Amino acid sequence: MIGRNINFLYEFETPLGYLPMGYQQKNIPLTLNDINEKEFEFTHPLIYFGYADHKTKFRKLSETSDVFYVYEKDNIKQKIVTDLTYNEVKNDLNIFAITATHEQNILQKILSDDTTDYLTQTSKKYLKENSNFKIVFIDDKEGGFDYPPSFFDKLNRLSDDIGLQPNQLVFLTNTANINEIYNLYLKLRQKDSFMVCEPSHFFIYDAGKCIVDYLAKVKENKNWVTYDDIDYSIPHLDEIDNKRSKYFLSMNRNSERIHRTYLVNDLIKNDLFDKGYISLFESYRVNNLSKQNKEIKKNIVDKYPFTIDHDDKHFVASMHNYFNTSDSWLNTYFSIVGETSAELRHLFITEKCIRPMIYFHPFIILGNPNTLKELRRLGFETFPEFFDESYDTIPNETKRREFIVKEVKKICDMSLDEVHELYQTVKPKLIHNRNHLVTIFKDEVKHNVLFNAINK
Amino acid sequence: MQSTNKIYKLYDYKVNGNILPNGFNPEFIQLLMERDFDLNGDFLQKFQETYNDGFNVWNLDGVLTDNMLLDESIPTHKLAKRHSNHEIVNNNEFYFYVVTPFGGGSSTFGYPSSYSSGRPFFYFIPESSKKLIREHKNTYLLINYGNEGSLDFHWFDVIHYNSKLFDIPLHKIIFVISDFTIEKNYNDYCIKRNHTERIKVFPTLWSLNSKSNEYEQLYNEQKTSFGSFSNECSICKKDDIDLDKERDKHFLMFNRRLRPHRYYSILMFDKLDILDKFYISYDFETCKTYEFNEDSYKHHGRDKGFRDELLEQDKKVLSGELNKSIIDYDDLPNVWGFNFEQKEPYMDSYIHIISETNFFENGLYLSEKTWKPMGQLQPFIMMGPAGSLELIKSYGFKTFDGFIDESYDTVENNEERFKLLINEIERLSKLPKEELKNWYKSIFNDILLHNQKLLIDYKNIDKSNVRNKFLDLFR
Repeated sequence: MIGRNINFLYEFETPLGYLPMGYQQKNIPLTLNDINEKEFEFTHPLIYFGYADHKTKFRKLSETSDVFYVYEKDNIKQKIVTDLTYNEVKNDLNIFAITATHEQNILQKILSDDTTDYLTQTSKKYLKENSNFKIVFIDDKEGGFDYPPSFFDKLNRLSDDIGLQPNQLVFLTNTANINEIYNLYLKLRQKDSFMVCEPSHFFIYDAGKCIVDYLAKVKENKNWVTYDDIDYSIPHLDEIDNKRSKYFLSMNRNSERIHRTYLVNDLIKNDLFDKGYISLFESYRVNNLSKQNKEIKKNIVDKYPFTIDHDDKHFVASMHNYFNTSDSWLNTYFSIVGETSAELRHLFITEKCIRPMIYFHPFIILGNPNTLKELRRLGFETFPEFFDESYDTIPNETKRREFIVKEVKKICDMSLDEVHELYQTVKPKLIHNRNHLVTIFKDEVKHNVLFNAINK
Repeated sequence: MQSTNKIYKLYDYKVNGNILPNGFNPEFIQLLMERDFDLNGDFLQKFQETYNDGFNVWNLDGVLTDNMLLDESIPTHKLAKRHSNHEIVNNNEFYFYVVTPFGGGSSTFGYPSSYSSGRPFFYFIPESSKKLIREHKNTYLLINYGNEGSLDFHWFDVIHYNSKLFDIPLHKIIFVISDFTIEKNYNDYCIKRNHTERIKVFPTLWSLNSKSNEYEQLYNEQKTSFGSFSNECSICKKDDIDLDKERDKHFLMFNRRLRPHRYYSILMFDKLDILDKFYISYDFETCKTYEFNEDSYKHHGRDKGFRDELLEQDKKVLSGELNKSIIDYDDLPNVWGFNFEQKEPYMDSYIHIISETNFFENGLYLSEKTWKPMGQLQPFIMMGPAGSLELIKSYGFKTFDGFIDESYDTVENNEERFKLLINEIERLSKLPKEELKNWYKSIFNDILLHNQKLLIDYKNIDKSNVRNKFLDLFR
């Protein structure tokens, strides 16, 4: 529960609204020129979702996102720093928030910017004189990065430039093991901590809102909603008892994430391709890989794209983050998830793990080690009834993938009637998982994570 | 009467508590950034030094707020949001996107210079704000030149051209200036250019309220200040005046920048050998802003005989014989119209010669100079544009016809009016001081105290008539 007022601070009020923080001062003149040419607000989807480069000249405007769009709430206000009242200066949590965009994550931003150039002298003075003023970097769009020492070095430079206390510089990231990475850095540089790193799961926090919005929009005799001219549907509880004709669903789309390509290859090698629905689109990287790897050429490149409901990969990429249509989900019993990353060094959970929960599917995940452990920590149920989940702790990616495929084969060797029975036994868990997503949204976990991080 | 209308000023940018003037060129914001957007202090001076030009626009909204033409400021993005949400526009709410030309106006209107690169302020109005002016029913572009009284009519060419270029309807533009002949002059301009579509123009008066404010403070013995200047100032009160005392001089006349009419009048007073009747300030060494010659006089008159008389007299200026005269402050270039008030010269002379800003220039403009003698209990002669006395009287002030021949006020021909004024001053200079003293005594209560009271009270009087007249343009 958030008991203290939070003010997201800005320095520039502009014709398009408050200029999001995070622009280097040296870029301000050109940025103002760009602002003069535009008509939208900073929260306009063209800017917020970063379609800038493709459709109009929004490059400079999409250097950072508007944080209030992410955290809109009654006790969170937007303020120009110099408009703060005496009480607000002394008592509220006052935050300069610098956020990622779809084009540029915080890692890229920090590495390419002069971190000492983000704030005016006036703002720096407020930070220096008031410990309840903080700078918060929010990497809410992506995650799972190898944060190199130079990344932390640049944040350290920012801290030193202003003279921040350690709790005045906060980094929120979807990389769940960020503190392990940060501690390694501190050990390497033999430094004391100078900032707060807080793991977060923005893809999990936002899912419940989508479910609530969906259910509010669905009317009687209509079982779908339309966003941007595309129909989406999610199953009702009374739809999930029907028998299904396939075992699994594995939506992989982007084969550039090479572990997905190997996963599909292994499914094909084990004669599992026809047991479920699999998607995997073409990519330059896989085409290139197939020049050396004959097996990938034969099993993947010569046959793909593998599609389920839509053939156009750009169209699929532009679809809703959490939804598609229920058909393929209601015709299969479980999901094989090819997460964004399967590497050992970090832990990043995305909407790909969340979709099976929305569509009442048990799941097996080819992701980072300890993904299941983290999901359980967050209150979700996993499915040892279906799979030996010890794969979750196998550090080696190949061995983990082989284990996963073996577990999938085990289920696929059962009859569909047997799997149907097994599915019935985990129904309470499936219902719990979807409800839990809604609970996370309603309990304002996203806000609490922010609050806890900035209240340290 | 309390008005139910609300008049908003729209602003685009606010940084660190400072509203940046609308229409500034963002490419030249570096200097402001270095100062953390502090517009005060020596910013303008530094800008001039850096770019060899003045900042093109500035925040000078006093004339609008003083005359109830502005209630409060709101950011354009808030109105833009309401507009995009199709909120119904309240007919009693008016929004003005105010651009205030600064630095003489040449940069503002895009005359080639290092700063604006030939682009007028229209180029620096954000698209979103242009859209508001274009589409939002009660939003207008207000060009606020209310702090000045004389304009270059080519500016109207710039306005008309850019209105078309940027698709801002002319009826959505209003030009405010301290010139009470603006309606006639703009009408003449439009006839000359065959313009049927027109902007709106509105005359206003900044100086009366400002001087009223200063004199009220002085009257109540509060300290006044102007920029970095803070002098000990004083104002004549009723009890200061000894009506039976004979004063030292006939006239009092302040001249700082030696504009043509000031230049000529000093030459004439010298020629008439009446300078000893004056407390008069001038400095031909540091304040000579006008190059007087045969050619330059062509802009002021056609009487070659009179011109040659002046030119003959000018030899004394050129030789240094006629050089400098001071009254109260020695450093004339740094004497300003506010916060340099000393009552003594007024108490020791009878008639004030107001050397207004405009005389030969276009524009019926009353600056702070007009109100000085009224604040200091002194009768006056107006060396300014024709119609000045009539305008002064329209505010309830009394003048001195009868004792002083004020027919000069109706003479439109500048050269003729100038000669009439010189003749009248010469006539008055020959009057014995006893006569002046008696006259002064006779007008003290009815005119001088009346004028002073009216002036001091002005800042607090209801100005809703000005506001209503202004809003009538948009109804």
